[in-house]
Amino acid sequence: MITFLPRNVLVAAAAALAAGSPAWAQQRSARPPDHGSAVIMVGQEPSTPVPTLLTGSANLAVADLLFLRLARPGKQLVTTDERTFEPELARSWTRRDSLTLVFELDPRARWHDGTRVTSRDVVFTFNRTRDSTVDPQRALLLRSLATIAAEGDRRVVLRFTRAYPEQFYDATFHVRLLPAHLVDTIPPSRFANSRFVREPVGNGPYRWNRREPGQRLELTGNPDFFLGAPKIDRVVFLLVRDVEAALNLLLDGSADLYEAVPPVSGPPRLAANPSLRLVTAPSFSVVYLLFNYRAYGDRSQPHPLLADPEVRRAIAMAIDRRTMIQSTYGGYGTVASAPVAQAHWTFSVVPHEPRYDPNGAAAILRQRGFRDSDGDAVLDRNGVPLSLRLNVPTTSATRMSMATQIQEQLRHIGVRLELVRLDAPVWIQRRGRGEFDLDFSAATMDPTPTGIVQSWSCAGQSGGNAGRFCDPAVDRLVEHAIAASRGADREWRAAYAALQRAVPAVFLVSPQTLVAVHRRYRNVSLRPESLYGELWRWSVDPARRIARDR
Amino acid sequence: MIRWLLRRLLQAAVTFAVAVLLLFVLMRITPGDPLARLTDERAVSEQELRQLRARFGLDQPIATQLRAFLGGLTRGDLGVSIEHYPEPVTSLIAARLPATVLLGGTVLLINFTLGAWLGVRQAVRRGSHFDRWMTRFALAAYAMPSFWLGLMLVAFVSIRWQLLPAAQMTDPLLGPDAGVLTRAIDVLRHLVLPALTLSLTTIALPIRHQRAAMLAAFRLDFVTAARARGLSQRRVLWRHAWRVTLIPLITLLGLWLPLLVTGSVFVEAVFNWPGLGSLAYQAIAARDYPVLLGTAMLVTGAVITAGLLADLGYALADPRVRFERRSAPR
Repeated sequence: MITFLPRNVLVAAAAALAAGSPAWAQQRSARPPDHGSAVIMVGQEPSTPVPTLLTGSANLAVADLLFLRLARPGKQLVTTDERTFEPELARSWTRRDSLTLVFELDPRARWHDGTRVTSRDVVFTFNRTRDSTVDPQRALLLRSLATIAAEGDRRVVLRFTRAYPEQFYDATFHVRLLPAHLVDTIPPSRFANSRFVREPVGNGPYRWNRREPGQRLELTGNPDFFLGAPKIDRVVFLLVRDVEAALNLLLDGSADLYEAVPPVSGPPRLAANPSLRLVTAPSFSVVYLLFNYRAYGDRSQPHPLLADPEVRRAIAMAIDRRTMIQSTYGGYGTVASAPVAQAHWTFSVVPHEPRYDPNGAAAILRQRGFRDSDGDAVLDRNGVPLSLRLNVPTTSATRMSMATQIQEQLRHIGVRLELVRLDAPVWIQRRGRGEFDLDFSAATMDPTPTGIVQSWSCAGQSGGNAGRFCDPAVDRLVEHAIAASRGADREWRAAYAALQRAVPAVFLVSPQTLVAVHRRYRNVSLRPESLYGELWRWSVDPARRIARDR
Repeated sequence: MIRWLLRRLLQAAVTFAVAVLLLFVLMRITPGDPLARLTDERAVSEQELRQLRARFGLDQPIATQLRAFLGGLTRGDLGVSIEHYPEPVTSLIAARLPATVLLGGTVLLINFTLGAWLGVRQAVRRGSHFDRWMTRFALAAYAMPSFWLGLMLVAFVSIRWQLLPAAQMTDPLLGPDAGVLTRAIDVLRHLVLPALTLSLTTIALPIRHQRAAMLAAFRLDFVTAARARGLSQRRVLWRHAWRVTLIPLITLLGLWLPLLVTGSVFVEAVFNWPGLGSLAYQAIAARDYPVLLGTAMLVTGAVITAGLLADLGYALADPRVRFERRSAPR
C-alpha cells in the first residue's frame, strides 16, 4: 500500500483529474445554436498550406479553407465544360475568342486583413506560379497560358497559346490567389521561410489562427466571408498519424472527422459510438499492378516474360478483383478498368475489361508455350520458370493484404509470384530504377482525365511512366480524346479500350474515401477534389450540440 | 576531481564525434531516396528533382555534405527537414522535446521512487504474500507489450468509462489564453495513461534490482553491526543498508536517463503523444537525413551524458569511490 501520501490527497487528485474539464467546457461565450466547432484529424502535417508551396493532402485541405480560386469545378467535376464551373473569387467570366478568357472579380471579395481582392492579386499569383523555379509542377500545368493582364481593378484577361477543351479548368483549378500587397516584396527564395507562410492571410471562409508544430493547426470562421459566414466557426486540424489513435479519439469524443477510416476494421468499431456516422465520397485514386516492359533493373532490354502482351493479359484475367474489393475494402471501392478513378467524369465510359477468367488465363499461357515440365506446379518455357517478383510497400496495409491474395490466385494458373515487401523509400527507389517485374502502385490524380499522359504514354517514359509502356496508337487516341470538345465520351472510350488491349497494368480498384463524421453536423457534403471545401456551409443541429460547440 | 572530469569530458567529446560521423555516413549508404516520398505523391519532372536535390544538398558528394553539416553544426544549425520543409531541424526537435521530457521524466520519477520503494518493501518482507504478489505483478507487467497495454487502458479507461482522454497531450480546443492551472490539469489528464503504460511495463526492473540489492545489503557485516547496536529498523534500513544499494540503482538510472529524450515509439503512436520518438521514427521511414541525424545526435549526447552523470553519482553515493585514474567502483 502507498503510505507516504495521505489517502484523501490521492482521492482528491484522482477526482480532479477525472473531472477536470478541458478549456472548451469552461468557455462561456454564447454562440448561436446552430454554430459549433470541428476537430478534423489528418495523417500528415499541414506545415505550408499556402499557394505555390502546396504539396500533400493535409496542406491542400487547409488551403481549401483559406485560399479561394477564381472558380471551381461543378459537382459533376466535368473539366471540359466551363458552364458547369461555380464562381468563387470571379463573379462571372466570358470568352473573347477561343484563346481568351475574361474574368470579372467579385467586388465583395476581401483578404482577411480587409484589403479588397483585385486583379493585381490575380496577375501577381499567376505570374509567380508560372515561374518554374517557384512552383515547377504548376508551371508545367500552366504552360499553355501565354499572357495574363489586368483591365482595371476587377477584370483579368487570360490568353492561351492554343485552343483546347480544358483551358478553363487550367485557368482556375491550379491557382489559388495570393495577396500581392503582402507577398510581392518577399523574394521567392525566401517565401517558404517568411512570416506570411507562418501566419497566412487568405481570402476564404476561414482565417488563420495558430499552429503548434507536430500537433495541431487552428482556423477560425471569417464572419466577413463574402459568400456567407461559416457556422462551423472553429476548426482544428489535429495531426494523428496512427490509425488506432485516430479511431480512439473518435470513440472517446475528442475528434469529429477522420477521412482515413480503415474500410474493413473501422466500420464495426465506430458503430460502438452512436454519435458517429460513416460518409463515403468517390476518390481520385486508383490501385494497380504495374507491369515492367523492360528487364528487371535493365531498361535496355525487353522483359523476358512481360514484354509479351498475352502473358500480361493472362495474369490480368486470373485476378478476381471483385472478391478482393470485398475482402480488402469491405465493398468501399469499385473495380477499376483503366487509370481512371470513380470521381473522374470519364469513369462511366471505361469498358469493363478484363473479365475474371482463370481458365481462359491458363489457356492463353498454354498457347504461349508454357508447360509445367518439371512438375513443380510452376509453368515454364524453354527451361525458364514463369516466376515474377512483385514489389509491395509495407506502409500500405491494403496492398500488403491484396498482394497475398494475388499471389494465391496466380498460383492457380501456374505463375509463381514472389512478394518483395519494401520500406517505402526503397520501394519508390526501386520503382524509379525499374527494379521490379510487377509493382503494386497507387495513384491519386487531379480531376482531369488528361493526367493519363504522365504515366501511360511514350512521352511519360522520361517521368512517371515507370513501367516504360509505350504504344503510339494509344498515344494518338488519348491525344484525340484530350483535344475533343465537350462530351467526348466516344473518344475517351476508344482511348481506354486501346489502353486495355495493351495491358500495361492490372487496374484493380478505385477506393472510396470513407469518412467518419459526427452526427451533429447538418448539410454535410464531401467533395472528392476538396474533401472539406464546403465545411463553411455546414451547421450544427441545435438538438445535438456538444460542450465544445457552445 | 577536475582532472578526472576533464578527461571524461574529452572522452565523451571523442565518442560523440565518432558516433556523429558514423551516423552521417551510415545514413547515406542506407538504401532509399530521401526525396522518394515527394516523388511518390505526384509526377515530378527532372528539373524539379534537380532543384530539390540542390535545395537539400543531396546533389553534392558525401564529403561536401559532411563539411556543410559540420559547418552548420558549429553555428547550431542542423539544417532543414526534407519531410517537414521548410521547418529547421532545431525547431522540430525543440517543439517535440518538452513532451518527451515530460513523459520520460514522469516515468523515471515513478520508476525510481515508487519502484525503488516497492523493491525495498519486498526485501524487508521477503517471502510474505506482498513479496510474492508483487513479484508476480512486476513480471506480468514487464511481459506485457506496451502498445497492447496502452490500447487496453484506452479501451476501458477512455472509451468505456470516459474517465481520461484517449490520446494527445492537450485538449484539441485548448486555447493559448488558457490559464496555467487549466493547462496543467489538462496536460496531467492526458499524461496519466501514457505514463502509466510506460511505467507498468518497465517498473519491474527497478523493483527487482532494488529487492536483490537490499537482500544482499542485509547480509553485510556493518548492517548486522548496526542492528546489534540496537538501531531502529527504519534507521538500519534507510541510513545503512539502502545507501549501499544506490550503486546498482544509479547504474540502472544511468542506462535509463536517455529515455528523457528518446521517447517511446509505440506509446507515442498509441497515445498520439507529440514526442521525439515518433519524430525519429517518421524520419527513418522518410529517410529525412537532417531530422534523423538531429535526433540521433540528441540520443547519443543523452547516452554519453547519462554515463558521465552515473559516474559522478557513484562517487556521491559511495565514499569509497574516488576520482582517481582507475576509479572503477569497488
